Amino acid sequence: MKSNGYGRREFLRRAPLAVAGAVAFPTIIKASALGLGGAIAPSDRIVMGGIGFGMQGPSNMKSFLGKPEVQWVAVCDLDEEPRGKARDTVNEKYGTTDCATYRDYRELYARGDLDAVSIAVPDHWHAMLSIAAVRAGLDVFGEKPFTHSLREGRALCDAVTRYGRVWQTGSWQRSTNNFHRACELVRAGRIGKIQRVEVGLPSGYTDFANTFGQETIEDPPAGFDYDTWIGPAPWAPYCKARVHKNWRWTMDFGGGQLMDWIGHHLDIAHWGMGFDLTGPVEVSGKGEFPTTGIYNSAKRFWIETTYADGTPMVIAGGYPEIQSGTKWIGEFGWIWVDRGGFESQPARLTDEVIGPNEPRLYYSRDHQQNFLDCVRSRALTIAPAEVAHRSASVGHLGVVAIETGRTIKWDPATETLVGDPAAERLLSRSYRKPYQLPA
Amino acid sequence: MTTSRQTPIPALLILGIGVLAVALWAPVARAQATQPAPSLDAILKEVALYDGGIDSGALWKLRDYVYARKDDPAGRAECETKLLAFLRSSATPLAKMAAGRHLRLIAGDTAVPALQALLDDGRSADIALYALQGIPGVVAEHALIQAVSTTVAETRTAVIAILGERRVEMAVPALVPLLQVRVYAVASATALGRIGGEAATAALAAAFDGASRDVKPVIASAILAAAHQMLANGNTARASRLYESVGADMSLPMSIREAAAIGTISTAGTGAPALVLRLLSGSDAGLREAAVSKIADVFIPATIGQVSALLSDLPEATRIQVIAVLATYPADRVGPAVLSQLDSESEAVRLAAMNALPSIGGISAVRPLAERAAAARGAEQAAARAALGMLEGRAVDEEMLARLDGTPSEAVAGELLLAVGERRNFSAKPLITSSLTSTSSVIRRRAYRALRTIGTPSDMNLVLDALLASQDEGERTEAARTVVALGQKMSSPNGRSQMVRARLATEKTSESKAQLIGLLGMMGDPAALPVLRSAIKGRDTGAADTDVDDVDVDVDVADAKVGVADADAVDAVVDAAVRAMAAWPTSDAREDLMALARDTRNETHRLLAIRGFIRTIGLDAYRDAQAVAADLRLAAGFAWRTDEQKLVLGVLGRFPCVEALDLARTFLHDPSLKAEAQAAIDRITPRLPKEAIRW
Repeated sequence: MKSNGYGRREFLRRAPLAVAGAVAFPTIIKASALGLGGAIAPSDRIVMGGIGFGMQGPSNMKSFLGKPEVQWVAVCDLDEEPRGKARDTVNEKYGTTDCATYRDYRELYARGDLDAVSIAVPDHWHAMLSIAAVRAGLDVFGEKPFTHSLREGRALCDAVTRYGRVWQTGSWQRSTNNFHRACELVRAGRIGKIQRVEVGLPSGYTDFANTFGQETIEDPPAGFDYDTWIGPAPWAPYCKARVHKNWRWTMDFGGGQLMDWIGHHLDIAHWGMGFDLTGPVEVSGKGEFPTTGIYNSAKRFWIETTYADGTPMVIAGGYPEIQSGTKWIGEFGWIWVDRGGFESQPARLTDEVIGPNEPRLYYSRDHQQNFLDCVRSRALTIAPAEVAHRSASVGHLGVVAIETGRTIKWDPATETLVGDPAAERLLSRSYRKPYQLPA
Repeated sequence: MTTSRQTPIPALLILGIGVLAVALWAPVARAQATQPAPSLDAILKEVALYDGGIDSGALWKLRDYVYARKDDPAGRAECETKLLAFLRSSATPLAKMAAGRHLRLIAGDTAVPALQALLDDGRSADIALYALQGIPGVVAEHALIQAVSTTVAETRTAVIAILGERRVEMAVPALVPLLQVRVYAVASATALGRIGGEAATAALAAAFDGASRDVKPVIASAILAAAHQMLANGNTARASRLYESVGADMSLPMSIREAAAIGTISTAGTGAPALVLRLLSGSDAGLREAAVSKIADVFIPATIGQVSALLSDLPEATRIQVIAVLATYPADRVGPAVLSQLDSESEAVRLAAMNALPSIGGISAVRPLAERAAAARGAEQAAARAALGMLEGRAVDEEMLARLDGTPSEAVAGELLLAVGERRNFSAKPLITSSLTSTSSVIRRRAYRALRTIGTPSDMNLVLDALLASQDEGERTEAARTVVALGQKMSSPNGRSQMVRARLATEKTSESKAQLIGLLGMMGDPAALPVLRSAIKGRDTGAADTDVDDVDVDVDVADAKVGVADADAVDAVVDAAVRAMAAWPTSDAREDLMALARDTRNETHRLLAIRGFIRTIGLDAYRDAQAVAADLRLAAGFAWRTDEQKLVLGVLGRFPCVEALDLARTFLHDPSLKAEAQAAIDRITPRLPKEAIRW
């Protein structure tokens, strides 16, 4: 990028301690010194780093590494094994040994040469890492669900706005043809007024790490900073099944299938309905839980919501009558979309194309590229913070409804529960000492 | 109308089964009713041993017990009392945390003293804090404020954080002194920022100037958070002073100064437009970025011209950002300014302008974009074409047709034709179909592309005419793709190739027949497979078996039989048929390809058939893995070259089963295949049950 360009050039003039308590990183590397050959001038590159390489991080990073404008300079992970693999991937890509590695995200943020960071860590760390990132002046590609609690979500949205940062959530379905087209058809009124929306999510637990059953309490492996991994969550002893990839099934670290997928199919439902910046006014739900083992997220769930315009929306996992994906049922037919399919009634609807003279939705066919484009233009991404927060909020409210066992009333404008102080306790999480959400 | 009074037999049967079930269930139900539900004491006794591992059954019992009583005051009181006592017991820390979780949800003021007492115990403090955070009301807040002075180290830091999260204004006096205590300064500043209000903000502002280098950015962030709240609450003047004080401190990181600038603009009222313009024109890139982020909030359509007027003088990066914002304004206000950026020396700026033009370009953008699309290559051409396709307004469609009616250059006319298709301007179809016979190759090729979008199956014959008449390989490719695309629009897949087969029956030359057979391979209509089989055997390629009537075409194919005159011609048709079969897009050709691989004496054809066979084996992702492995074993038997054996191994890894694993292992001994075999094994093994693997 040119010297009269983006904020990053200004980062080079920053005080080295961008984050309170951070460890000063002595070498501030100019982006212009990092470039290799290629069509993008070294000074025009977007300098990135990443945190979390145990699950979605490697795949996100590989997408970014394929973009000529990206210069990936650093990786950060609490576990030396995925950290090392990520470093090797970067070094192999560039044919160098330059990729820096960090265990502590504060050191990464304090480098001073980053434009953006990709964060793909367990849910309970989302808000802390992300608020610290935007405060350090970084644009963020963050994973869904947006945050681990509803109140964290508002805090993160406010921080993104306050610091004027670009945010993209990993709700990549928005950047694919099927989902985009389905939403445009719904918005264009091709099935008339929507009578009901059905959102089908997976159920049960998926053994992502091949560690199911490995619940014997043992010492964490050397090279893995387990205590920091637990971070703000209540402490729990190490066992293999609790950590990498399968942390998602424990509510202290993740939110089960419901929160894993709410940022996909419910997010699409919101997009099609034009509910991106609002939420339901009423939520009820039920869930089925295990009776033993270390996991405690709902294995099966049924959540009913109603929006201010009266539209009912069902979010279910493990109920065959609700098809996986998103289905809008309207006056004149229905449209259903999932990763593997796009169907409608009448069938011809799926072939219909929205013309340039009809209302169009935000267009992106490459989620990572959309983020990079917006880092340059400072425009809103296709899955910005507020939108991601509103999608995640429905899942959080669903959890609250399941936990309380009653219908809760929600004011999406003020983001408050109506007349239910007991349920209010479930909108935030307690942090283990000494963790504190940054300002 | 009569109504039967007879009870239907099925109903009687169901009734009988129901009575029987009740009779059988009653003793069981009575026995269950006599078993007392476990008491909370009994459950807690069980919970007390929990070590964090798999045996969590007692935790779920505790949950059930508490949840059943959480909305009942008496039940809740019992739970609270016993859970608090449990926290003081010798239970494991994880068992106590389980109790703490429930206290967070159900405990009231009465629980506060007991929880507060636990704050002094380093081991139990986390559990007490966990519960206290959830308990609403001033009693809990008073306890937390007291704990600021009674606790130490990390527990105190956590207490400070909780007071901030709860936004306890009465905690401000307790927190302010801690701004001066190094170990608590960050926590208390952050908490005060969250609490906000005049007292907290005044304390932060007072501490700001004298703060140490590492704490100052945190205090600044806290001031920004507090100012954000003040602005939301309408205290603009105070918020403005806070933003300005932070923004003026050049020692702060740019990210914080940028946030302060955003805040300053937000509070500037009528002065905001001038401030934005001043910052945009300034030399500080971070502040320019801040100004860009506020343009949409500050400028209404009537005043946005002030920003547009600056556009050409802005640095490249800022210009790109401003163009993105201008795209959200009415076309008549900003269109010309953005359009002028198409002439920028910077490609990035030109691309930004093209991205913005669909919503604001209107008819004025048609000519320059078409010219750009015709002249540019790569990303710029793609952006120009995309913009032409998305330009909003029906007048744009009319403008494009009017320009096509004029005398644009071949290249520009070609781009306009593409755009007409992309825009689904169906009224322009006659223009496009007539362009298929244009004297210009460029126009013809673009017309094919446009027709793919807005053409229908009934246009296929027209395209076939053009394809068979063309001597240009590139044009033939475009035409062939168009035929396939038009076929795809038929509702029945079995009818897609009908017109091509009919044409095959009437064409005389082997060249034409080979062309048409190639098309059949691209279309993948199962009804065309018999035609290919006949052709491969060197037989007549008549389409007598055509029986699909998906399209209303007036072609009599029943008697259409065409002989091929000489051996070379036969070879050309056979060769085309083999290649079509080998490229068949679905698994329907799998058996044919297997037979061809086995039987043909032509080595080239055998190679094509083997490759096609292996490819089609892998096309059915949901086929039984064992059947796939069996086919691949067969394919491996045919494959004599390393390249094809590698293809077998590539497919093998996608179908995990013991047979696939065994087959992959047979290649391990071959050095040229060892890596691929191992990759297949690595892919298969984790997806098999451990007991299924024969080591």
